[in-house]
Amino acid sequence: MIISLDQVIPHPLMESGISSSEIWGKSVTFEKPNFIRIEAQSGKGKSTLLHILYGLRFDYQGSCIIDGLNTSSFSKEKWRGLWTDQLSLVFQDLRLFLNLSAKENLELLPSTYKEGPSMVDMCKELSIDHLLDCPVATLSFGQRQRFALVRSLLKPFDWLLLDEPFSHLDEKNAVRAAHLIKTCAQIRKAGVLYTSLSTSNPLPNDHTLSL
Amino acid sequence: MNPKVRSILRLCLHPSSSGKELMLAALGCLLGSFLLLFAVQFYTDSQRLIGEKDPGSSFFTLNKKVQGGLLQNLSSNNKSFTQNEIEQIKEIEGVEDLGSFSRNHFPLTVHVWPAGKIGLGSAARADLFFEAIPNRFLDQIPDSWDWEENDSIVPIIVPKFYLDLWNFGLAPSRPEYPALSLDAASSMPVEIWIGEDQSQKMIGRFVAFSKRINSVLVPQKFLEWANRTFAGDPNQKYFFVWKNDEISSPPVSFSDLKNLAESSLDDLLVSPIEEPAKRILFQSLSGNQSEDNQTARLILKVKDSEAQIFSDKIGRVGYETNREMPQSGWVQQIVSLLTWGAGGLGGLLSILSIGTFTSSFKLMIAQSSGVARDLTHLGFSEKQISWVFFQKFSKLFGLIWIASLLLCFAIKEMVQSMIKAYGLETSDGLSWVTLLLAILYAAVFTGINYLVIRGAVSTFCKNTQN
Repeated sequence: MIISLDQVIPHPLMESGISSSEIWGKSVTFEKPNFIRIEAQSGKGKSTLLHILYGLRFDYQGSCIIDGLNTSSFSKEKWRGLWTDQLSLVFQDLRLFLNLSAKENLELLPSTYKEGPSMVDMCKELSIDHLLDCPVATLSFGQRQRFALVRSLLKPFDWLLLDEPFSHLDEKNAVRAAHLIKTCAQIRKAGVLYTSLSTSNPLPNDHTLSL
Repeated sequence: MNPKVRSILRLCLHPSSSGKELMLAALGCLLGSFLLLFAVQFYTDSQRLIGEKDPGSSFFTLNKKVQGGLLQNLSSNNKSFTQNEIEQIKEIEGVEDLGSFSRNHFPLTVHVWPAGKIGLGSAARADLFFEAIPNRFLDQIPDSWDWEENDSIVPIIVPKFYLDLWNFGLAPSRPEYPALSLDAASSMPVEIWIGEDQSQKMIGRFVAFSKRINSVLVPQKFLEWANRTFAGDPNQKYFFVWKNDEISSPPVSFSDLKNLAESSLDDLLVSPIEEPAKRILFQSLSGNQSEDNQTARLILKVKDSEAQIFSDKIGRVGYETNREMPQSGWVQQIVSLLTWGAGGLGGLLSILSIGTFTSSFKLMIAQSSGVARDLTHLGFSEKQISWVFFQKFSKLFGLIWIASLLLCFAIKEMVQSMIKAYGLETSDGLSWVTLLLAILYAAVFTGINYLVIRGAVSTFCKNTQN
């Protein structure tokens, strides 16, 4: 799966300075199995970029192209197929279901990837296996962030989109999470596109683009 | 989707409130569907009770007027309809069917034993008559109505109001006669004594109580057999033939006389062999003899819409009519009023409950719209999400639907047991029309709510895209 952006400028950013951006208003192509870091300060449109790629926002000019097709022409069903089998996104606000337990959140997927580490193994790796039966509402944001990451890794995907995935993790847990992400991406031969506020990040970095 | 995921999905979309709205909708739906179903059941039962097996038709009996004094009517006075007259009646507008009454040609006395056993208590005795009509004119044909030669019991149908007269007229004034329910009256033995000297006896039973025919009816087959057996063949009677004031030949049979009369002699005088001196004109004898086989009473099926016009027309001709158990307009009107009233109210409540149901589910979906949006972003389809809400609706509606059917059945059974005391009976269980309506109602109600739920999920998912 190849993702391209051609002269994309989100409407909210039209007025602000985007001249120094390596993505907005430019033509870029993301090819798997690369690890691409999107680096920017707050308000530069990191989440907006991921939402455009995931098909949640269409308030932009230019074209977003997936496998040679303009995503603006995609039907609801086409997007559903991508969300089920080809794209996986960890939202900045995580979007876990607070009325369910952590385990139920991880099990609530329309399809799961059968190869690679299991749900319990991933949770053990991130030291959250003992929290599986806890209601998500009772967990800290850091714990929730790790569960949200596990959920995204349980899905099949060609591209994993991560919106500031380690924002609430300590260094030790961030390293463990990065290792898990790398393992899962390698098994799937998938690409990983992640946003980050800082330059220091434990995830591999094949390309860095600034917004 | 595997069952585990489905159950978590249900848990995930469990609404936090809207219970009160749903309860209100459920109550309205229960009341509405019950009223609708009961209105239809009431209507079908009413039609059955009124005896309207032929909707839109009335039944009349028709006879010629009997006029004049005692002496005049003792002499031969033919009150039968000729074939020509019958054909003319058939031609009258509105007449759908016509049948004739046949009657017994022998003396008949019945002894009814109300205690249920011959010889037990007092018997009610009466000189009676039997008539028969084609089965298609009967308002009810009991299983035991068929009669074959050598059958030990003669089935008899009497008018329902005979039983009423017994219960409310005769029984209260005669301590030896008990009041009789339909079942008790049906089990009474009836001795049928035949002949002037009551030399022959048969046993009969009342097998039905007609609300249509004002006569004592027996099966046509029995009446034909009885007339043949007990009345004798008129053609086998023998007469002396008179010429020039003296008997001119040995006795001649009635059938031979008929041939003789047809050939020439219009003023042929004859006398029965048992009364040789009683000379009578053969023509008058011929009329009396053949009258036995002629039709004095007719039964007609007439279109309801033409009944009044028919009645007026027939009155002008000089015939007497008796509208059998008139389908009183006011009874029909009350039935229609109650049916439309209950049905209309039920329909209105159902429409309102559809509105309340859809509003409740829209509210429920709106409350879960954020969750539904996140589920679609995980890859769940709107159909899968709608299905969770639809299942919730189906369970509730299924309960309401079954409850309304049970309620309808229970009320019907209660009403049936109440009216049974008045000798009225309806069919067991709910009618197929009611069940068909229930299925149709469920299909419409479910279909509308499914579409509304699908629409609401789609709308809310779209409106909460991010």
